[in-house]
Amino acid sequence: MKEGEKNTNPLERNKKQSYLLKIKVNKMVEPITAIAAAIGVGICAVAAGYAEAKIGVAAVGAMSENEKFFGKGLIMTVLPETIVIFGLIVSIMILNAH
Amino acid sequence: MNLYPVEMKKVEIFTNRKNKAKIIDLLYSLKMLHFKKYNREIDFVDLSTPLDSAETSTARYLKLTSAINLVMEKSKIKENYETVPVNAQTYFPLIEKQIDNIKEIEKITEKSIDLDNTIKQAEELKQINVSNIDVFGDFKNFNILFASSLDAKTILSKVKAMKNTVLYSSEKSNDFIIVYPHKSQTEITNLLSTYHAKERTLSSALQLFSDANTGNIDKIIQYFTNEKSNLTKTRAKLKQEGLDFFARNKNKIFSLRALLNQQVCKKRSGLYFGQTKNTIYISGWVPEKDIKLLEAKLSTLKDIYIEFKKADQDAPVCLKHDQSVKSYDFLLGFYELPKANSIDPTAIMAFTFPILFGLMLGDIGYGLVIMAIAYIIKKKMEGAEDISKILSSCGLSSAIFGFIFAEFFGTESIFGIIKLTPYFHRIHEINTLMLMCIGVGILHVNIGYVLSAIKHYKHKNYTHMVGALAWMSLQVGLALIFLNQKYIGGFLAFLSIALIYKAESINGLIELPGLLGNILSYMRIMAVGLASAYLAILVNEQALTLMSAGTMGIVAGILLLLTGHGFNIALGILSPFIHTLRLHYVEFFTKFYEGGGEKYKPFGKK
Repeated sequence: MKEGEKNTNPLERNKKQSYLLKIKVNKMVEPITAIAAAIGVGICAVAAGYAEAKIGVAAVGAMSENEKFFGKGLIMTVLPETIVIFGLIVSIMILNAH
Repeated sequence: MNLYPVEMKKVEIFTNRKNKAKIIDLLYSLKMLHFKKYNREIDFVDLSTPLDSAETSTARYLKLTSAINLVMEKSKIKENYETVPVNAQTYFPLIEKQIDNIKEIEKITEKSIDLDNTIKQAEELKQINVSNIDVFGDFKNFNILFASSLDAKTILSKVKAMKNTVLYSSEKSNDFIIVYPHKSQTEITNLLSTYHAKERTLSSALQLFSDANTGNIDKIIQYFTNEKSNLTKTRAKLKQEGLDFFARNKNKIFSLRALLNQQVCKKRSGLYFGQTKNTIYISGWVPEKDIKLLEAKLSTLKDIYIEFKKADQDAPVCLKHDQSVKSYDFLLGFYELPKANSIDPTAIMAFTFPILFGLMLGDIGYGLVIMAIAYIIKKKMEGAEDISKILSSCGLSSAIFGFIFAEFFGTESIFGIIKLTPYFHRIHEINTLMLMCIGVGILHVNIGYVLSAIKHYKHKNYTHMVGALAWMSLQVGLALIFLNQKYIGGFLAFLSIALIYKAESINGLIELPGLLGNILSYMRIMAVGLASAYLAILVNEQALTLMSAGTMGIVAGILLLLTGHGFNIALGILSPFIHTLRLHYVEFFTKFYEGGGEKYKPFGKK
């Protein structure tokens, strides 16, 4: 148990759990960096959600008129999703900057 | 592997009008020709008419279908039947009475609902102590008001204070009837509006009772209750007889329906033709391989001229695939069928779809569960073979990638017995995973460009073909710049952009940043995958913590494991499915796909 006590990562304390996968916690990340990364991806997600909601309403409306619009509606609706991916990349870059 | 739909030819047939019925029969039995509707494109050629007695057949078909639907709704009769020979001309009149009886059942049901309503109204009147409705006969100087209000008691006590009023009311009911002199009209109206009373129409209720020929409310109720029980008996009798009849003659009736449907199809097909005084003109499309057979069969008719032309863009599409990839047609149908002569990516999707799905989910346990779900869907649900096949291949691919990532329900071992060794640790090597996803994206997007080049090459549209290849060389150029080969890379990128501008003009330039977006979009493979893996790990951590806290803890831990992983599997099917679909529709298809094709439905085929 000596090794376990030295380890500051709470998820790696118990030796019984050796078969479990563990989430890697980067100890070097400062709180402010983590918050910055969270804001980066979070605001992007809210923005994408806002955009998708607006497009989705119109797409569902069009689909209820004519089911052929499913494909086109889906494409239009998911277009803003890429914004979150960009946010995610920026967040990962922020976390890796250290 | 077929990259193109079945090759079609356009057919134009000119023949004597006398041949109309014969040629329709022949085409119906051949099941090859997809009609093109004649839209009066030629001045002197009119639109043709349906064959004689098309209306009778349609009416009979509709009548029979609605009766069959009613029967199937109300009994356990299923639509499996043996086709037996029937003669529509003689058999339909025979069963027409039974069909009418079945339809009568519906009418009786409606009637008995009306009767229920009448009885209810009579009972309401009875409850407020109206014993005979004749008292509401002709009043010259009085009005009658039938109303209900939550404040009935207050209203009534105020009305009682007025002169010359008669009240019908009850402690138990909110309804009341007031008979009052004309001159009290304003007073009563004000009173009613103050206490939000809802006025009801007495006259229509009284009208309903006129059938009973009596004023006595008890007798009225009695009369209508009798009526209702009679109706119920008739209905039960008709229903039993009708259902018995249908059950006995099931094969014949369903065969008759099929026959009538066929007649309707044939007789109405005239509406697709053009005609002049002596000639009819039929046009449509036929698969190239069937041309000779069609020509040989049609040549048996007299006075006929057939011409085959190259199919245009409006031609219907018939996708041809091996059994192994056929189920992926379903995903195309979700979107839009490809246009005739354009690329059909089903065969490629059959590879890329499970791979992308597996990359996202990547867990042996989840993959096996999805395969089990696919098996259950196949066994239990009819008509869901396609989705079951797609799910099972996606599950298999998830299991394989799970083996590579060494994940089994979020643990690194199979039930703690067999330790798994990861070939690639996606949870710990996020940066590598990111690069890998981008690599997958570049590969997938470039398959799209290759397909686009192939498409343009086939259409001999060489400028566009070079344009599609230029998108690929642009990526090479950018990669070279990234690798510090600035001059060669810059030159290549510039050349590519020039070629793209030449092929696609300004639209191509606007699309340039889109290329980056398209490729980076594949990062969702990482995002979706890690989200599902993290959730699984968290569930395991929490469950293990619970389990170390005694017996109750073990129960709670197991419950948590079941619900947590169940939830994650539900998400793990839905989320990767939608995202993989999106990667195909948005990132992959936009490079080459031309949608909007009409499905090939040959005349005579169901």
